[in-house]
Amino acid sequence: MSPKDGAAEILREYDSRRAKGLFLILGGLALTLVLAVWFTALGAIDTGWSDILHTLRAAAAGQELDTGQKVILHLRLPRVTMAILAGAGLSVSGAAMQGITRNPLVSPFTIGVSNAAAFGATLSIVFGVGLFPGTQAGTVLMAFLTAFLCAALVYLVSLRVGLSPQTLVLTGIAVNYLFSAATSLIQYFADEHRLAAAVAWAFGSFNGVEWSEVSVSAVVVAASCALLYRYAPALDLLSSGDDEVARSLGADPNRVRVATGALSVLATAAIISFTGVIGFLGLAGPHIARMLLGGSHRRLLPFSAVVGALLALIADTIGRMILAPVMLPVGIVVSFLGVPIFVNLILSQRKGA
Amino acid sequence: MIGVLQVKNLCQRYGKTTVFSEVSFELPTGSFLALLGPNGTGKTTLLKSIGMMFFPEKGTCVLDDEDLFAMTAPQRARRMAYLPQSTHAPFPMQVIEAVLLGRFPYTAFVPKQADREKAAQVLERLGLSALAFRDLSHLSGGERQQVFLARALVQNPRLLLLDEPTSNLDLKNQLQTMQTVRSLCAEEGLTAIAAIHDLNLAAMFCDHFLILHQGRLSAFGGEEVLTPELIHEVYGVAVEKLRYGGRPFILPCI
Repeated sequence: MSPKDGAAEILREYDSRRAKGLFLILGGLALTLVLAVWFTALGAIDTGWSDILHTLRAAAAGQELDTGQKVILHLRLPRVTMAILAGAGLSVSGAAMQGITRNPLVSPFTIGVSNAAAFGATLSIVFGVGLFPGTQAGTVLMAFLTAFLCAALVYLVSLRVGLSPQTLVLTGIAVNYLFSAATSLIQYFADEHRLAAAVAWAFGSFNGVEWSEVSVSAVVVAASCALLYRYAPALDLLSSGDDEVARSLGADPNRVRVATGALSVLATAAIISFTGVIGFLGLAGPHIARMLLGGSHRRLLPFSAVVGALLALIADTIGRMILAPVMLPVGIVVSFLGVPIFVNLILSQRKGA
Repeated sequence: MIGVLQVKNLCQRYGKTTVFSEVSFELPTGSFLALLGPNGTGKTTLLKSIGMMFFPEKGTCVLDDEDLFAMTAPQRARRMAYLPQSTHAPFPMQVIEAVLLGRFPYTAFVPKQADREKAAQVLERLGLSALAFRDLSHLSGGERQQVFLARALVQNPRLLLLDEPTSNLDLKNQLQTMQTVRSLCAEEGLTAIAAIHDLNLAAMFCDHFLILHQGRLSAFGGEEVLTPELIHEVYGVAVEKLRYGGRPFILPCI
């Protein structure tokens, strides 16, 4: 093989792999949409695919809806949309956080953001602390604020020693324990009724999400993920080598770390403030995506979103159907569903290596 | 001055400790400089200061009349590249993707056709074509080193900084790495600076030598500066300098 052929061969193979990656992402996206429609039709009130179209048409025309149509429009569609949104957003945030900390164990849950949100929600539910105490909006707002407070705390502490990945992770874990302990302390003194509400919040579920919540979350998640995507090449650099290498290639690691960290926290907070803690998605989504499609963030971020959305959607529907009429929180089901997939992939990777 | 790398009054400190100060030298482009000195003397720090990976306290670094320290980081990254000692990668990454990262200072969001061609050509040139789609973590230390060299070359640098390029490598890979760098200097006018421990490897492949001792530049010049007296003073080891086949050998007297 002459030298020219070798280089040409690499380019051909590169293009074909890129096309395969794109196909996988688009295929996953199509599958997500098909499942979303199918799952919307599933439930205690039996509806078909055509009913969904009729419902949307009727709602757009401002007509009176029958019970089945109301269920579709106000219960199932927002729920399915939120599942896709949460799965995608948490998974993308997890991918970015793992990248900037160069640590495969990191997720929005492990570095404290989720538990901080739970602390804020518990404060609001149990003590009525914060704006609009005792209301749903008050809980969401408090969860959002404490999630950001936690992120700010982690970054400020780490900044004092130069914002190294190890410090970020260690500080995050420490803060995680702090908020977890604070939440437990409040729960310990809470009365039974409020304790139940606080614990139920922490399970993480899409029960009763409304369009108003979905739309707020959608705007924030979409905006932060779109901005995150622009950092994909920088994330490649930061995740694959030391800061010095990144610096020698013209990137500013700390700036990337602050910007992408803030965007990830924003997306995470905009989800878990409404849904409660869903831990596993942010950890496993990116890993599953990486194992299937490799570590380049230009593809990893969108594919993580697809994988996360699929996981959340399937897990939520199983949780909704399996013990119907009891609805299992997605935060519980997603781990039962995801862990076997995850472990299986880890095992097949090791064999392949 | 064109054709010269001028480093002037370079000083670096960590907190209150001065690592080195007043390091000045002029190196003709196309040279291969060895940074020598015992462990902990600041060789690597000096290398990284020249590369602005650690911001030096003061000093200038001018290559072909261009002030490297006054540039933006992406501008600088188009003129100099850094080869790290060893990089532990926690996540999977294909060789071709790793090499394409060398185009980071040039590219927009997606690597263009020209970037991909450049990466493929460099892989071909270093004999790494067969590894292009392997995962970095499945490569041997020597192969990985070559991949990072490929990434550095894809940057199209005029100055190449190497941090202990031969540590962790077996004899053949040590020789191959040094040989590749030397021929890049000779054939393409690349200037290379390597922090290195092995005096004999340095003497075999490098043409300039800088000895750093106790935070000062204690010698700079051709192979003749590597005298047994200096080596004894700097490393605390008595050596003999022999010649064999016209090449110098530093032999410890034990």
